[in-house]
Amino acid sequence: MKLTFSDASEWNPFVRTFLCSMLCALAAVAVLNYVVNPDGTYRSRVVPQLLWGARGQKLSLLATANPAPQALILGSSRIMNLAPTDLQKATGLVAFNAGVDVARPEDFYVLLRYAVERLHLHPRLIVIGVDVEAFHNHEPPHYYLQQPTELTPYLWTQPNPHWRWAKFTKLFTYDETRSSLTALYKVTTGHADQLERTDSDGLTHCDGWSRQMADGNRELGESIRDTISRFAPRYDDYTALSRERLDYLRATLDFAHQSGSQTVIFLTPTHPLVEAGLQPHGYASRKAEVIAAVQSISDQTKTPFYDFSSPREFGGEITHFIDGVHHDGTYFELMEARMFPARARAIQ
Amino acid sequence: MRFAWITLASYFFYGWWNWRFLPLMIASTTVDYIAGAKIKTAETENPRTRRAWLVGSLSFNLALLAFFKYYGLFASTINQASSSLGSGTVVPVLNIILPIGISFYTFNSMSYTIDIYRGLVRPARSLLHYSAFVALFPHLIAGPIVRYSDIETQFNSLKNRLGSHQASLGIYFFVIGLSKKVLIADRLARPVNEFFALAHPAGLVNSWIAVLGYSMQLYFDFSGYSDMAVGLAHFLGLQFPQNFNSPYKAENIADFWRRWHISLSTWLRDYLFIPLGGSRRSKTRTTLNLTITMFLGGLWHGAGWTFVVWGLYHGVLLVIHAAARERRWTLNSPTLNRIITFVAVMLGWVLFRAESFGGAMKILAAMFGRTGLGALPDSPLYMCWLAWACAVAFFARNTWEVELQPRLAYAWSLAGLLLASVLMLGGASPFLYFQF
Repeated sequence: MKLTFSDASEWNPFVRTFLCSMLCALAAVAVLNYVVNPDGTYRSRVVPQLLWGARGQKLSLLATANPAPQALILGSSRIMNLAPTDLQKATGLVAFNAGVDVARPEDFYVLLRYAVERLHLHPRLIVIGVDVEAFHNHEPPHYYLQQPTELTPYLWTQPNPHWRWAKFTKLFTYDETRSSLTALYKVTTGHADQLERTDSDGLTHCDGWSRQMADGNRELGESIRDTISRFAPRYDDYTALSRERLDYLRATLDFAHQSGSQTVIFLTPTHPLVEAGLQPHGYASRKAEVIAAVQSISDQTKTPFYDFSSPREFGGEITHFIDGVHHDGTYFELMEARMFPARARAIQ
Repeated sequence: MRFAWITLASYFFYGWWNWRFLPLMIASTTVDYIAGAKIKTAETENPRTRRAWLVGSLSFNLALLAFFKYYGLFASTINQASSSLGSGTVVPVLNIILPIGISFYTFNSMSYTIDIYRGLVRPARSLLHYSAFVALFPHLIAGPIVRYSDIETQFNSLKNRLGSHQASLGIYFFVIGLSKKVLIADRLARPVNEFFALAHPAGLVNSWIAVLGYSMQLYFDFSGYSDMAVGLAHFLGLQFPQNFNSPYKAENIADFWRRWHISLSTWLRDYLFIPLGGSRRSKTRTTLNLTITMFLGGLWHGAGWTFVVWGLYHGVLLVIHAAARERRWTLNSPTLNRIITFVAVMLGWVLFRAESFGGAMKILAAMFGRTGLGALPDSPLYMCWLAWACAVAFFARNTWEVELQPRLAYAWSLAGLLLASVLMLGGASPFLYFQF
């Protein structure tokens, strides 16, 4: 089909309207995401950060923790509901949960150094929960560490010079907009305190999930399938363990020991159906490599290592999963019973 | 000056991916430009000289394609055959990177020298003009295959100022193309990729749903890219040819090929099928010509036996269709014809998408119930996306059929679509046809 072009001025308003409405809409989205700032990427603090595991939020809580924590829990969202009070019962030490979303060994390292060197904390125990994905060889550090923050001076490689661009483009993403709208909804409807919330000791409560489980409205099968579909592309790209991330883990343990802390590591549990679903994507190989590598580092640094990747390893049922990789917290009691059988005699 | 900018911008765009392959494209451009000029100047001289320049140009382009695209297939096939006979590696295996867009720009270039030889176009005014044509970034890496004859006149009368009507059309095509890709094709991609990655596809229903998903993903992905290329060309003051015309509304397989990747099918028709004799000779010869054309058409898509078998499969379908039409064995129901054609095309896509021939056979076996009935996918959202994609592909007017009006409601709708596409860009995947 051959088109003919009209030079009639009737098309001028069309172009102008399109450009104006497009620019206005983009500007509105950018302003919304900047002002709401759901996970603390920008300077705006007009709306409280509502998404759990934000690094900035954990740093603030850690700085104001009173009394000063004697035990630190490091890990990803999978350990964010490990109750510091339970750890205190098991070890006798005042604990703080410093778990942050999508944590990898570089997060453990920078958080620990920040706590010791900037906040002058002297934890006697460091409990680290690692995930199989934590040693991904192709995933970059969390975006929080890709821009200059309080934590980035402790990184071995300084932030990506393009962080400003990444931060800018994040303003125009669906995920950021959805998070902003969710945060705004929670604030405006008064639900902010009822959903994800974090205590002063760093413990995150997933009340939304808990309520869904209690009401029978949470479809575990759907959550597991969602986990598999989200993780499969990550595993396709996870071709080997990152040497740098293994070195960060070793450095974390070394630094902890130099600071007078004892350390314990455990591998976080994954639902058996997720493990099966990720088999075609190389899950079994990566998991075996992680166990071997972490065991080797543990032996070198004299750190106890527990493979809790399957609930049966610590005597748990599989009924406590909330989705493919998160659980309701019940498992932690069983894990603590394995890790601290003598009720902290050794630590005390 | 404008051609210099277009060329530089296009080279920058191409070099952004891998600058090492830029000299290859420049070499191909220079060889074909010189060959075109020589063919023209030798018009009044010895026809053998003209033929020699044409053969030289075509050989150069085909040699590029053969080495970069097909050497790996050739080496692995020979080595497999040799190892099955008990010998070792016969042909050295080289780790060759496929230059992106090579299949498209070599075909663009070949049509140029052939058309000059046939007297259909005049040589480009300068090497700069020709470089701008070959490297023209909107269609460089995934088509449509634009012939010099398509844009010769436009190139020679390019206006200095972009009119608001053409700008509006550029906006329209670009936004529709982007939203086809981001809002439809990419929404279907993940479950489809997961299905084709399975070692043992389960169930008849799952398999049909996944292959239907891939059929829609491929159409919206590729036609989306083509629409975006048309839109970008409008911004440069050029009009590219239509590459898709609602192919899933086709009522027979020949009709499908008149609607799917039109620039490739017409290229194969004009530069391969007709020179081979087309359908003017005996039935046996026509059958052979169709088979050769579709065999090479399949091979063009990728260096793999699955693509070859896919091409041959379509060749066989075209032969069957021609025989049926001659004997008037056709159905009177357009709906039934559309369904039969679409199902035949879907079965072909299994070969096109599968990683290996064995994998394709497993999926086809599953589609015919060898692994049980299976079940519908658990995700209602995915089924909604799929239903929406099918409704658009089967019933809606395509991008070229919609007549853009200078109404503000159209402008607002397009702005809304662009905003939605931009927000979803974060999870976008590469265009499927980039690999060809």
